[in-house]
Amino acid sequence: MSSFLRKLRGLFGRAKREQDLDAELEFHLAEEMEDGALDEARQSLGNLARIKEDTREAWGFPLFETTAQDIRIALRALRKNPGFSIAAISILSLGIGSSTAMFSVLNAVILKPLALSNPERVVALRSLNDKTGAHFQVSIPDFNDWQAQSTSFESLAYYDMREAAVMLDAGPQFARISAVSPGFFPVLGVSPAGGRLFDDRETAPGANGAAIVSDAFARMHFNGDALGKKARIGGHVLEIVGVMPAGFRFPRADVWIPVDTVYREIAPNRGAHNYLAVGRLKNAATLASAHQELKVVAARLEREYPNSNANKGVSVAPLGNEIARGWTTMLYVLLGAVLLLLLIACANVANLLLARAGARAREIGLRAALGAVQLRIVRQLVTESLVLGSLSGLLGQVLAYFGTSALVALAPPNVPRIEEVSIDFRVLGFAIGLTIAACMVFGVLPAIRASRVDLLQALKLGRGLQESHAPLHGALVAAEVAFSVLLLAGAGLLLRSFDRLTRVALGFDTQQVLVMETSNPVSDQPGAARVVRRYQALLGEIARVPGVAAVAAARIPPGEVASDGAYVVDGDISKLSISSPMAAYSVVSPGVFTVLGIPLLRGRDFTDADMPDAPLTAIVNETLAKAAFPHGDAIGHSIVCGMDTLKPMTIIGVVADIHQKGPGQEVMAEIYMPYIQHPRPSTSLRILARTSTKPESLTSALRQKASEAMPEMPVKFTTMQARLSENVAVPRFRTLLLSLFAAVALTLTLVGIYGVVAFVMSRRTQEIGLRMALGATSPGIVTLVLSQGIRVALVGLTAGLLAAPLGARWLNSMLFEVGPLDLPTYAAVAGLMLIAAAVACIVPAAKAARMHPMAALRQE
Amino acid sequence: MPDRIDLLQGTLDLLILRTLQLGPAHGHAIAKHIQRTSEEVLQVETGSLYPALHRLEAQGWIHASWAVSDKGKRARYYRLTPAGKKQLAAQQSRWQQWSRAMALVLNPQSGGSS
Repeated sequence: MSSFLRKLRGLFGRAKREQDLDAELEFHLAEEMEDGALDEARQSLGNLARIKEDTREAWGFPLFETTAQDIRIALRALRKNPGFSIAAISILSLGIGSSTAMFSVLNAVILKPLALSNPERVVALRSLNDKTGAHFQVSIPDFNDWQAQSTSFESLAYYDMREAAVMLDAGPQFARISAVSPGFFPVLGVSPAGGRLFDDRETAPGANGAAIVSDAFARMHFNGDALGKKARIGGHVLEIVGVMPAGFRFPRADVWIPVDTVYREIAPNRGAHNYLAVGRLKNAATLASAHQELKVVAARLEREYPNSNANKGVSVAPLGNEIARGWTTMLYVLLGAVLLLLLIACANVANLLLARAGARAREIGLRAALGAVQLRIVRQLVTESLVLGSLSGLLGQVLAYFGTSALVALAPPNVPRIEEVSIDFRVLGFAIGLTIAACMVFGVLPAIRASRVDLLQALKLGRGLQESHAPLHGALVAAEVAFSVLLLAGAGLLLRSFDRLTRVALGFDTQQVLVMETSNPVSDQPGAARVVRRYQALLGEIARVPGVAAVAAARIPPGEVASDGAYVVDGDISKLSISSPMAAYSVVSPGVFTVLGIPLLRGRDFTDADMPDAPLTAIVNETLAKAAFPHGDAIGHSIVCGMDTLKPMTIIGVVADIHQKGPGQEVMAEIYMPYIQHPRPSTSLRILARTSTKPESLTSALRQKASEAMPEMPVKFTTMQARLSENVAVPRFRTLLLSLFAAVALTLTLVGIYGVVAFVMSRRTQEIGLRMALGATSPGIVTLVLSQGIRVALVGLTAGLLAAPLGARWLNSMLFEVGPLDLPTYAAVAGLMLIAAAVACIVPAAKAARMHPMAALRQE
Repeated sequence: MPDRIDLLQGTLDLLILRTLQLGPAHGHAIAKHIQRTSEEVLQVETGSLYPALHRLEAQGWIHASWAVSDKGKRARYYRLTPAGKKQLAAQQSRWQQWSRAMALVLNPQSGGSS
């Protein structure tokens, strides 16, 4: 141990030791001279450097020592060559930074465990259509049977989510409200940071209820002091009994209330899939065993209730997976794309290193001549790469920091857990691993190549080396081209899809429509009826506002309808099950078809005469009419759906189809129902006003009318245009990112092709001079240069085009009306790449063509 | 001049330690002593001597300090440390065992007397 300490000490005081060694050897030589041992002295003198080197090895840790030396040499080399260093470091740090940024988003959405106790035991439960694999929400009777007949869970809970008005002392506010069953917080394993959970009195069915709020909500509306304060929802004055810890908002809620208090359950039935469910597995249970057990329960329910439960299975998934569902493929594809970009960056830097190795052939030759072994030289060069990589890695982290912020800002608002993005050990590990891997990719090959020095050639010309590099250069650039083709193809497919998506004729007119969102939560039918009557009055008031051409209301505006379910016509409501045909459910006011320009094909629109006590009416779209009544008119027939009542409704009209769920979704059957006859789903309406002026200019007038008519109702404004643009926010996000990556890749590749062509041409200067002297024309020379670039591009292009369809399979779920084998896209990519290759050749070609033959021949 | 014999691996350490048992000495003196005592058979290359000296120093068997030589020049003098003495004893006995064994094999008739 003491010898270890001595060695350690030896590492310091190094300068002194160097001096001592010099003095000691000087003394030795002097003594030898004095002895007249001239032979020995001369011999020692010749080997002085070697003797010193060997002696130094005895001092400290030789590996550490030489590594430190390698690093010093590497830093010196980088400083001496600022152009190269800046180029290499910026290319690499861009690649590492963007990869790390992308990974930190993926990490937050997919990889990070949820901030719950033992999150791996928390599972999400959904109803499942065994035939189609589609996931459903859960009905209360099904849930109760799952709970009663299974033993795998410590506890189970169900919950829902809505955005609705909360009345605070400061005025009405929109808030995301989740009604939760008593097991909810125990399942998740979280307790309030302040206050307590709901007690039995507060969770009793029909009780007044209470509220628990998120940390952010408490800060925003109560200065962080929310406990004991009141919040009114739907006429219930709720005491705030708990504040959750900062960061806990599952399921993205601001306020949690007990189920069946503010929002009463009316006659729960197995067809009403209105809730989401979660459970905590017992330690003895696994995901598979729990799933197996619930499958048995579901099969039993299917036998017991064949009408409602035919083909209804159950899915059990880790909650984290369920939250990330629908995002994983996209995020992995984007990460893959950015890693390809990094590979291209590495290939570019490898080429720079190769070119520089050529320039350094003399230096390396000299070191080899002085007795450095190949391994030592390789190590030196690899160290240089590692130093280069580490600097790039560090700079990359700075870029990643900004890149992550940019990604979060750019990301669609509904990306789950995006607020959890942070630098944790996973991100750090990824960044470090990536940096090392990148160093290996770009560093090792050039290092091995460079160390194989033909001594004589190298010392004489510094050239022997370079010639042999040309093929490697070409191969690297071809690889760059291939990777770029992959990225370009992906970006091309997404761009074409996005173009198609934005060109979809939605079937209604979105221009000049102002949307006012409102909310009036109520807890009972009479309350809902009162709200609906006030809405009726408000719509009348708004219609008289100057600048409003027409006004109507809908529960959910067309283009984003999310509510759907089964329907039956002219018949037996007992046939209503998840196997019945499906339709979108829309609750609207009279006049909505006029406001949005949706043609009424047959029959009539709703009127204010369609009152709650009048016979129920419905309007269907053309798709439903054709499907349900292929041979006759739909008007006059009856239809039943399970939205809020199972009473039959008479079809009074047929309207043209629209893309009710947005441009990316197929048109489906749709049932429109008048809001006056369905007050309970109609307490939070979107008021749609067609304006004759700029829609935004009418917001204050409408706000005024709303607060006069319904003072406790919060409102917020958007336009139909803005909402539809948000509708395609996700495809826009991925298209934008992938296009950005592809553009950077193309630029890097262009630089790469330029590099290899310029390099090859500089080696062939004399040959070109000779050709010119022998009568070759300028166009001939230009063709010669072009063929260099095009040849490399063609090799890469072929490889890329062969691989692209394989990669495009990953994009399948993101493509719209464009197949993964879309020929126009691939043709465009090939053309673009060849043009890029030609552009990259312009400078070297122009240079070659302008060359004076004599000057060229004389050169070196 | 007699034929020179290259030093066996590891024997240089032993020779240095043994030389320093006589008293402190600088590198050149150590080399000359070994050559002279071995009747010029053992040649100590400068290229081996100093790495060996520094290695022994790093192991703590010898200690170096600057002093003025008998000719009035500053020289780096090495002397044996207590640990070095122990090491010398151990190496010496191992060497003697080895050379006796060699002698036994090479001259079986002589009955092992060396």
